[in-house]
Amino acid sequence: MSVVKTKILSSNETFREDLKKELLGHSINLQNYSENMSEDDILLVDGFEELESIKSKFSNKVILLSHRPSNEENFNLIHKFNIKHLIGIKSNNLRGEIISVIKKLNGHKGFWGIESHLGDIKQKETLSISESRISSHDVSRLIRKIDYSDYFDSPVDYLDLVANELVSNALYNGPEQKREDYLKYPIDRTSPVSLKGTELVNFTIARDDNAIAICVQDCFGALTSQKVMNNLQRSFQEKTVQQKKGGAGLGLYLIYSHANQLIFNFESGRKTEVIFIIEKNKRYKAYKERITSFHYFDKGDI
Amino acid sequence: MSKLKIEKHLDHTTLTVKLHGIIDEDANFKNINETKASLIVMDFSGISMINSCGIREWINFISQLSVQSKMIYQNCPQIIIEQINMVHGFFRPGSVIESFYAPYFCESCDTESKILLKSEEVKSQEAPQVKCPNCGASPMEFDAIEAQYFNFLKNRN
Repeated sequence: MSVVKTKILSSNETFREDLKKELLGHSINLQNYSENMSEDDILLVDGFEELESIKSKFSNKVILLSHRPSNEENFNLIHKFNIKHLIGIKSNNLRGEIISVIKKLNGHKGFWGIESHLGDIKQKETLSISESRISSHDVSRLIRKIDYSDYFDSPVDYLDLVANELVSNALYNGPEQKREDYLKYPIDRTSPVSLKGTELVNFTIARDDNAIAICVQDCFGALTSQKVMNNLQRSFQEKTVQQKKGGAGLGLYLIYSHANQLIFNFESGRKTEVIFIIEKNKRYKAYKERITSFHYFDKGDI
Repeated sequence: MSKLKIEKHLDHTTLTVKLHGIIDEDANFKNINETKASLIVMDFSGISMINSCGIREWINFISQLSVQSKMIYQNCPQIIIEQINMVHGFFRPGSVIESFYAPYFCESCDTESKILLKSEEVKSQEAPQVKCPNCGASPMEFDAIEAQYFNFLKNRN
């Protein structure tokens, strides 16, 4: 495997040097930031202050480490700087997340699937869904098969909610651009929907030693970066529902707010995958103190 | 089909409503006829999930209530408190949150418990001290970020 070249911009010398040593063991050559970066270089920036200090054009391969405690503040800065990768520093496995994202951005890790963001999987359940009528009960049953003994009391509450929002979005919004009768969209959420032919929404829940993840994958590829950012921007600003046909426009905001890591994988017109991760924590407080990591990977950028 | 079960009881001018199950796009609050009630007590203890469309149904319901009727939110589970804190319009202006569940952790027996608190027990956004219902040890540690979890009490009447 070739060595992955990455630059780091951090005023914390100890952190910088420790990270360099650790990443070298994973075939990642971390060098200090310099002005003459190429567009393909991955840049790891430690803090928004550092990001503001550089004048270069940001590439799709900037990974920002955020120390700011508010999801709203972080999202506003992601939006302002057009950042696609933000890692909250209070992660239980900060180094693991950094390594995983660098490798994925460099094509040294699989693009699709829950496996790219988990270690050795201890439990995994999957379900293919084609109808809204049967989805929620079956998904809920699968969520309850996972062992939560190392977790705070209520991860199931959040997993139920997030699965419900993601599966509904995929079933109701995903097909719009592929339908001749697209004018009937958005579809009222009280009306049952069925996908056509081989179309499926795939739901996966899995656990490794550090986290639980759910993944919802569709075969439509409709959720662009612009749609995600616009939706979250409106939600963080207004913090309320939309009175319109279809969804209430608040699902992604709820998902973002309950995630430790939220990952969007996207290939235009072909596939969308959303991965929601809750890291292992016995304490609810520690779960809520974790700044949400946000990643948007576009297959076209890699 | 609605996954929300609604039980209601009218006593003079007080309507007590107990909600059980899931509040989602199918939730139908229309049969909560409050025309004779000046006080509505909503008991949320049986709610296991509320999704984004359910939040919209709830907001639409409370916005259509008579301005004269007062509402009390009772036995709010953690998922309802989080919505009140996160979503504008979930809490009806002028209402009272009488009681709610809050997460505590006992270091002695390594157990998390959801403790039912009265709003009046929370002073200056500090969690009251409580004994562990499992082993009796005292005090348990409040297991959330106080400023965040008790945010809804900032504007109490």
